[in-house]
Amino acid sequence: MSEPAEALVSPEPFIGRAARDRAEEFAAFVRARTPSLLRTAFLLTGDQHLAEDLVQSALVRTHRAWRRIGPPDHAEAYTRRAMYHLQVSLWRRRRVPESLSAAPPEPRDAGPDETDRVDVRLALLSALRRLSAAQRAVLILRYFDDCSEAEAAQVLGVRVGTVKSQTNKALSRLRVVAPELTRHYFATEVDR
Amino acid sequence: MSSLREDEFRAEVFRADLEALAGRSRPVDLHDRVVRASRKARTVSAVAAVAVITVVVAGLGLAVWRRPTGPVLPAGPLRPVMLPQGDVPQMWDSGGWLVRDRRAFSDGTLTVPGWPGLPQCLSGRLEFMFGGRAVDNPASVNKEVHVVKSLRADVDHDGSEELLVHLTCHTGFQPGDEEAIMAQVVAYSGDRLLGRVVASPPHTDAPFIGGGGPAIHIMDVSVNDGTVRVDWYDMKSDTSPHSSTTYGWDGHEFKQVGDRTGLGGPTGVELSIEASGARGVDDLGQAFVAVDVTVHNSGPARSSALRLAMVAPVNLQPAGPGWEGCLLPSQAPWLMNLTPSPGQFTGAFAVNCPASAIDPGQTITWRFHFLVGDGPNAAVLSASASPIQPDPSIPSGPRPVSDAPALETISVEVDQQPPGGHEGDRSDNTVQVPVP
Repeated sequence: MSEPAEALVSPEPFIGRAARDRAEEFAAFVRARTPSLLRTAFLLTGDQHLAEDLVQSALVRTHRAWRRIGPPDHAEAYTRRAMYHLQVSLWRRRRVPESLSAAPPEPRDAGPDETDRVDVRLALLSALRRLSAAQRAVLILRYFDDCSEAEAAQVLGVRVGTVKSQTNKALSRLRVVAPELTRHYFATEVDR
Repeated sequence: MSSLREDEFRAEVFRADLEALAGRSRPVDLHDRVVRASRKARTVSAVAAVAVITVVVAGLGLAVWRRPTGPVLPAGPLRPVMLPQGDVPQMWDSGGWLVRDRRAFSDGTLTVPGWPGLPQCLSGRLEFMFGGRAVDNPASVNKEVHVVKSLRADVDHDGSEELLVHLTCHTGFQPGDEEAIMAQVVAYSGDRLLGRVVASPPHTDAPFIGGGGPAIHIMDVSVNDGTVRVDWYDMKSDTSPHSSTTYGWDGHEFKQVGDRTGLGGPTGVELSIEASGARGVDDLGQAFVAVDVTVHNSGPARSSALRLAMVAPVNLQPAGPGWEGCLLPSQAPWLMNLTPSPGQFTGAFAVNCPASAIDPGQTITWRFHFLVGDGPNAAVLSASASPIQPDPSIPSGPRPVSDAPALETISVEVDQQPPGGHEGDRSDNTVQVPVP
């Protein structure tokens, strides 16, 4: 059987071109979407290193499934779903100490109002770490990723009713673990 | 606690704060890491498949597998290795949490020999991250490998130092917990694997501590004049559980060179600790507290490497050279904002310090300095620990933690490093120092 001479030297032009294209597509996808994925992961984990670990693990799954995932928007959905699933399932396997983020403090030149917001956000970060992974995930899906209840349910692989109940529990838990946040996030009798 | 309706929730404010928080994440290019990890996961899967087939085919071979004459099994040279970058971190246990030091070894790569009898433990070229953990993917968390300790010494008498690494394979037995089921000590010379010094028999009946089969924990590894000493603990022995064995390089492999030495007692180590504090003012007018910690070993055996753990009030800030090598909250935020005894006190942070082993009859004293005032710990905690401040706008609800008194003592604990999950001697090794 005759074959092109270059194929005998290097099979890349025949069996490698598609793979190389896929590799380039994947590289472009990772570089374009990692910042956004890290932002979500940072909220899910409360820690830069854990966030990187989580995004990396999710992207590894995406990489392995890249050929069958399809267009980049499908890839992002796939990666985000993997990220949420990994975070929730990892939390089930490990105790996670309640701790602060490794993130540096906000800039010192903030004005009084901004300082107050910084305090609130630090308290929020600490409070998020005290929620269960599932509660944290549902809050971030609903209020950071702007998912509807149905979309959040699809990502987490649960029923819509579960998303509703987890959201309610998460918000209640937020008041318990960070009572000083109540006046920021919950309307009081006077407000209403 | 009343349940909430979502219409009470100010979603837009919450969303804005989430956005601001998310903006604190630092962008990182993960592409190379992802591709490398993906390829490694494929390789490990393929190796695991081959291993399973090998185990099935060689099933009969297990029957003739040479049983070790002692609890520790020497082995010969193996495969090449990439040396780790930087120092290998230790594992720390803080307040019951298994806390790992993530300062170093984030990109360390070792070629780990196979685990005799436990092919499900990861082996081959492994990347260790997050405090010496190697795990190929989250699904295999039950078989991850840890670096417990490393040291450099000339063990093959060629005039240059080799790297000795104490590795453990872990399995989980309930959510959040894990147990070492096998350990091995491996020597690396330059860019190649010199050989396995020892391996403990596999704890095949794990996940139950002490349940069933052998449960040998390698407690410590040290080198004296080129001879490797391994201290180990046999959880099944009632008479002489704590022993030591020495190994030497014969030019081809490591061989046992000394008889097993019983170290006596349950552990052979009796640690006691004393501590005192004094307040002073430095040349710059900064108030400080000096804490002297004295540890004595009244037992007949040399301890394994010690760990000093301290829990201190938030208004103190570790400062000065005495903290060199310690894991501080600034490096490990999970050591911050502790409530060591729920409801008793709050606003504390923890510090972990490695220390050398201590010989029988020996006394060692360390001095640690804390600056007093609003140090970085206090600044971060005051911002983050605001949940402990009572909010007058809340008429009812959970009892604020701030009802608990502030911590007024520094708690100091000395312990042997517990490699392999063994707790070591924990009696009479904690002392409280009133903040002067």
